[in-house]
Amino acid sequence: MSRFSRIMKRTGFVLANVWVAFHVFAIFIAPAPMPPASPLLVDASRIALPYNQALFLNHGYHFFAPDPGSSTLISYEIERSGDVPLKGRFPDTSISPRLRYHRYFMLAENVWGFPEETQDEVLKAYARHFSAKHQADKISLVVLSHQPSSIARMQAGGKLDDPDTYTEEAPMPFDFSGTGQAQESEPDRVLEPQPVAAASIH
Amino acid sequence: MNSAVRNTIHNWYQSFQTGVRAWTEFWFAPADPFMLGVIRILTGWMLVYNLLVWGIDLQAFFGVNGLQPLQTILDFHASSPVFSLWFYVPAAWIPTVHWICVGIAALFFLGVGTRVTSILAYLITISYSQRVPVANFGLDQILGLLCLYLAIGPSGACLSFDAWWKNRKARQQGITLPVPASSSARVALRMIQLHLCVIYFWAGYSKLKGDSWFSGEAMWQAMANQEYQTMDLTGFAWLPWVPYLIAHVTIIWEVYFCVAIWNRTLRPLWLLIGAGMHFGIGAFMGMWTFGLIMTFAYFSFSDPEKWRRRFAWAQNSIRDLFAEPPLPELLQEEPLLTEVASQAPVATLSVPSGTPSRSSAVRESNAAVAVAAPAKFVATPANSNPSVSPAPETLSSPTEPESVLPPVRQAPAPAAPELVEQADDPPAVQGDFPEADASGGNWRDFRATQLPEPAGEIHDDPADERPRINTPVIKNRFRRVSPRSMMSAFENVEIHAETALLLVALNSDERNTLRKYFREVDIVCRAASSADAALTLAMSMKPMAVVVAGTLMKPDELVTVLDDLNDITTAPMIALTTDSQSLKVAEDCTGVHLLHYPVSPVEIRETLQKILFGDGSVESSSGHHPGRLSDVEADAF
Repeated sequence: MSRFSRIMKRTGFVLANVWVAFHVFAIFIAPAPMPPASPLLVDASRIALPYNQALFLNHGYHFFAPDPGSSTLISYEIERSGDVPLKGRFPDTSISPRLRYHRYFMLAENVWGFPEETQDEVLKAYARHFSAKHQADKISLVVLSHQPSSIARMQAGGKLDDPDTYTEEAPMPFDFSGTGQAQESEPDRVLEPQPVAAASIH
Repeated sequence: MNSAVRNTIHNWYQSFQTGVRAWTEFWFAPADPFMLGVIRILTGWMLVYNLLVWGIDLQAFFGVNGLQPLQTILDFHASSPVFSLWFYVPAAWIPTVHWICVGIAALFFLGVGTRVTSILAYLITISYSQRVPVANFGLDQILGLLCLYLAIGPSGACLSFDAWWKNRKARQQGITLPVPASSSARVALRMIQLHLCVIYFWAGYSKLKGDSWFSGEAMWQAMANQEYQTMDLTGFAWLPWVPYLIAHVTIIWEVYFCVAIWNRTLRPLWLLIGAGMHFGIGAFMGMWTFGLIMTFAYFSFSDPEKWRRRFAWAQNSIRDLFAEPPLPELLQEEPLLTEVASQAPVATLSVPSGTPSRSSAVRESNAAVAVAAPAKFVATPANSNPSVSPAPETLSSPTEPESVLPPVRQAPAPAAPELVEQADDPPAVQGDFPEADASGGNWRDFRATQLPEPAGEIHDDPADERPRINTPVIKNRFRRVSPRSMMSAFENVEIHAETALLLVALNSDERNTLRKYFREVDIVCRAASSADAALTLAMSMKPMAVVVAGTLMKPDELVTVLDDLNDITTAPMIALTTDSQSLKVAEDCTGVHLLHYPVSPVEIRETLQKILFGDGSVESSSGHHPGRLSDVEADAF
């Protein structure tokens, strides 16, 4: 083996070791800034953030943590002249296969983890998608929170889908009849719990 | 003082060196890539499934103005070095690109061009995930990291098309090439292991931030989440200690996974609990994809040798299950004989129109009686009196016009049971058969009709009026053998089937097709699936002809097989060849008759007929043709 080859091999080995060490650090530190986190962990995670973003390794791995809590659903309502409003909701258990159901579930669950401007745009995209699907110009989205029933409630004869386990937020109306710009939604407020009829999004 | 400092430094240096060696060993000691192959198959399958499900709502999710508008996502990723090919795909091309991605994922799953397809599979995985970040969940995260590490390591070195292709030549020679261990395999496996530790550590650590995991309510909340559940588990409200216990075990298991998994004693327990947890997530919360992909990563902790043995066992079991018996005629003739004989007082063979009558055939034929055919078509119950023949009952061959006994060349060494000729009566066949069959019949006597008289040692004894042919080998034909392999089958079974055809075909489909055809036209055929088996068979039997199919053989290999067979047997040989094989065989082998692919079984049979009965129109690599048989035999054939 020539001297050049030896040098290259040794250099490659050193670089491989450096990469291994950095990679282990990067994947370990990636979930650290999930709140609550110390400034130290947040700053440390920034060192490897571009690397983790580029390799799609910047995940929190906070499965059902810190508390499983409630799940989020989004319902929509389309007014129809001379007819009852068309209502739909996602996720809907009629969606199959199950992986596809989870994709829709995540659309409702994950949107709140994104920056506010992204949330607004994504919600508008949901509204546009379902209004186009039903050939309507106006649509209103309602975010629902479904709290799991407690053990005590079940023992007392409650059910998982009791109406008061759902909490509705204010409807967000969208109007695509003109420029395609959505109207301003009302400020979020918690309304009295209302049962929502499930309907297929298909 | 100085020596104490020197000793301290020396000790530190030694500790440092030990640490470096341990680090190097841990990360770079060459490892068997077998488990990477296992993980690649499982991950590739999941990737294909994931993409197919994406395909259902392709425009809804990936359309420019879909549920996650392209511009919105681009703005979200604006300050991040994020790649997704979907950022660059025009709307009209989305379906096309998607199906190309599915195809690449399928190639990755099969291990085709794995060095390239593994990298592409990783890029595809992150492309989909980065394009629709709102719809991501645990499956996408684990799929991404597994694809990354499978792209780093030699995931196609085992259990892949690449490995099969690389070893095809050696496999034909019965050799299994060892898979070289590699440092990149070690790095990839270690990365998967370390990443699992990181995932579970943070999953457990993050649960410590929540009150419900300490109170035990968390698991109940997960069970009672109607959007997740696929099965009603609310019955646990009356057994609350179950969700409480599961919550506590989950915390302990996740937090301590990164420690316990490196302990050989605790590892199986930890992995078992993990598998149970993830299967539970799949079964009760409907997240089979996530549950399974997590357990796929567990294979990085497995011992490759154990899994090799399990795969080999499974492979052998499947092979034993579906493989045809090595000597199907041996195994099938016994029930056939029993069945036919018990059902028919006298079985006769239909004679195709235009063929000579039975008696003339008996008189004129020099052909020996085939071993299998008589058993199939001429057996009669033992309790029938050979001297008083009842009216014959005709048995038809599946292909009646061609349902004739295969001839042999001039060398007469009949391997049939004793043949008894009594004037115009059907000849009775006697052999050293088992004393009784399942129905209790005596198999000492058999009656055969329409059989050509064997050309061999027929002892015309006027006193006995029963010409006898000694056939000591016939015992073996009725002994059931259950060999574990072709070779072991031939170690103990002597075959004297000069009337049988030896078929050599490495391709199982081709072999089975030809054998089935030959069987249908009543040509007794022994099939060999490898060169070794062919040579063993050729030594054990004296075939009337040899047919060698060149499929899966290189020209040189085909020539070698033909040469070796030529050294063992004088039977005429027919080689089924491709164009490239034809040139080589014609050049190097003399006396071999060539048939070019594509070729039908009928053509092969006709060629056999021409070779054996002297039609000069058969192409031969040397122009040599074997001796001509009688017209009667030709007709019979």
